[in-house]
Amino acid sequence: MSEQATVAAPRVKPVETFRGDFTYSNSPEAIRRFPFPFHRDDYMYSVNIEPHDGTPPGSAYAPAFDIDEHYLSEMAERRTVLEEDPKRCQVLPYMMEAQWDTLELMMTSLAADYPEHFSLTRDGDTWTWENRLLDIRDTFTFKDADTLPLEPFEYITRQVQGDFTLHGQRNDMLYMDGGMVTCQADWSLDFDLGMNFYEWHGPVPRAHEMGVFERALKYLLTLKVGSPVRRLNWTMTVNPRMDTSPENYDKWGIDRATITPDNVGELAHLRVELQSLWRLPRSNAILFSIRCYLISMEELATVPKWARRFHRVLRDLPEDLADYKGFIGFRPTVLDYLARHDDGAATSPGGAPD
Amino acid sequence: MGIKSKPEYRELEFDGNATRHVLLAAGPGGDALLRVLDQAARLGRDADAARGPLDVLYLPSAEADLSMRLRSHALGVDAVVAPDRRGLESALRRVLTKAVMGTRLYVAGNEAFVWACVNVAREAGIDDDEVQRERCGSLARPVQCVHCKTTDPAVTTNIYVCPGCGLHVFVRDHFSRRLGVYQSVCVDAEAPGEVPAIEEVYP
Ligand code: HEM
Repeated sequence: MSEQATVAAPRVKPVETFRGDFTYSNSPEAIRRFPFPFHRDDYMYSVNIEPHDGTPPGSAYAPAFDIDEHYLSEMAERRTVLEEDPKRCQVLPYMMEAQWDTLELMMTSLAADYPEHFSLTRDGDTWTWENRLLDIRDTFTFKDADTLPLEPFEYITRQVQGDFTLHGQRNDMLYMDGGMVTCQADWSLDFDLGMNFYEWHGPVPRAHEMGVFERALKYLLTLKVGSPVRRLNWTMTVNPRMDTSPENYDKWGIDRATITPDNVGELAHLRVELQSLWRLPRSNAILFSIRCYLISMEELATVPKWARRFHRVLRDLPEDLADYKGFIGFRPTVLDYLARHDDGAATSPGGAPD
Repeated sequence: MGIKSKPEYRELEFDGNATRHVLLAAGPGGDALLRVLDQAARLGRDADAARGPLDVLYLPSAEADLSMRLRSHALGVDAVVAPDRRGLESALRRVLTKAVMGTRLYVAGNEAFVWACVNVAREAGIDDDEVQRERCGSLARPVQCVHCKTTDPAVTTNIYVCPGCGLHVFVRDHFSRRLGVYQSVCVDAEAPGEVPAIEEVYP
């Protein structure tokens, strides 16, 4: 943890890395607010959707879009990924209205949740956006793309932590019509672009047969403006690597073979996605936000309840899910590590630390 | 049955409710068109007027050339025989510049051909669901390497060496209609050099 944090509330660390020397780590405060995704000692796919309503106050769930100590690092990482592979950000041509909807939602939300860092001044269609963390101040005309240095969706998502996708709704179906995807858990925007809800979920085991996707889609089709919802998803990643894209799998796949009993606490990470879904007012499209959090096993074990519970979840997770999520090979080593932190005591309900 | 993104195919069937018919095939797919033409002919003379215009566009291949049989079919349609896929695609674009409402497309051929046609039709405003698709001939898959994005139009094995980046890549069932390709992913990333047996699974 750095002492010369650049700003206050939330304290934002200087840039750390998600590649190469992997200097990323969580402060004790970041650990305590980690969105631990398990409410009980076991896990199975379900339609785990709840209102994204600003609760619980002070938690990572409360802000519309959570900004935390890793802000500068994640924005730097995003720039690096886009430089190497511009196709990580693509929006289909008919989604311009949804691009402006996204920009408006993000600017107004960030300015309301983090007035120290962001402000938006609106004078009719003339808007001034200030992002003090990235030292950005731009005046532009709302809905006139020529007045921004980038298209509105790319412009704003280069300033917000998390991946984002855009979905048009046609004939009771959602489509992958765009996105900014640089910190994904092994799926390709370029490949999935244009697919429908069932197609892009094609590789997921079990959930189709369980009816999870059918019910989830039905729910999303009726999503209302002003009533966003959220859910959590999780997997495991070796090293605090944000960019676990299929594009670069030939480079990071080898990491999975590097886990040993000596380094597992430091290298194996729980990767949690806090996903929120927003109906956009003008375009009627849906914005899907995938905010990624990484915590090492060592850091996780500083919260006894979490180590106990994750041990049990991981131990009992069916093979097909462990295989799909990509950690079946090193699961035994993680289990050995976590077993040492599981005394068999009962765990309290809910995901929060005791 | 495969995963939800893997396309399904079925036998073409003449759709009496459509007001216009565009039949497309490559190589052995010509047989499927002959079947559709037979079905149309069976509807008889009364149906002729109601049936509306019917176009046949055909691309002969090394596997099969059914141009003569298509041209001499009793229904007497004026089949266009294209010299290559480019030619067929531009002929299709020309046909689709006329009104598309009520148009039914029938496509038969290998997967690369089928999805090239579907994509031309989509650009002309025809929904994928309005296109009947039958796979004929080789099961070879059009595959795009997720790493270097090079497409190999006809992969017949579970694993192949990507002509773009040289990696051994595994062919998944995950399919993009927009790109008209399956996805392939490095097979030995976690254990370099350990490449499983390569088998011809899409002959
Ligand atoms: C528009 C909203 C959504 C988008 C864009 C989205 C996107 C994705 C993507 C790209 C994947 C990875 C698939 C792959 O392996 O290639 C995935 C996985 C998954 N999605 Fe969604 N999803 C959305 C909504 C939902 C909802 C509402 C549910 C609720 C049940 C859900 C459940 C899942 C599950 C269970 C997985 C497997 C995750 C794992 O085991 O790691 N998704 N999703």
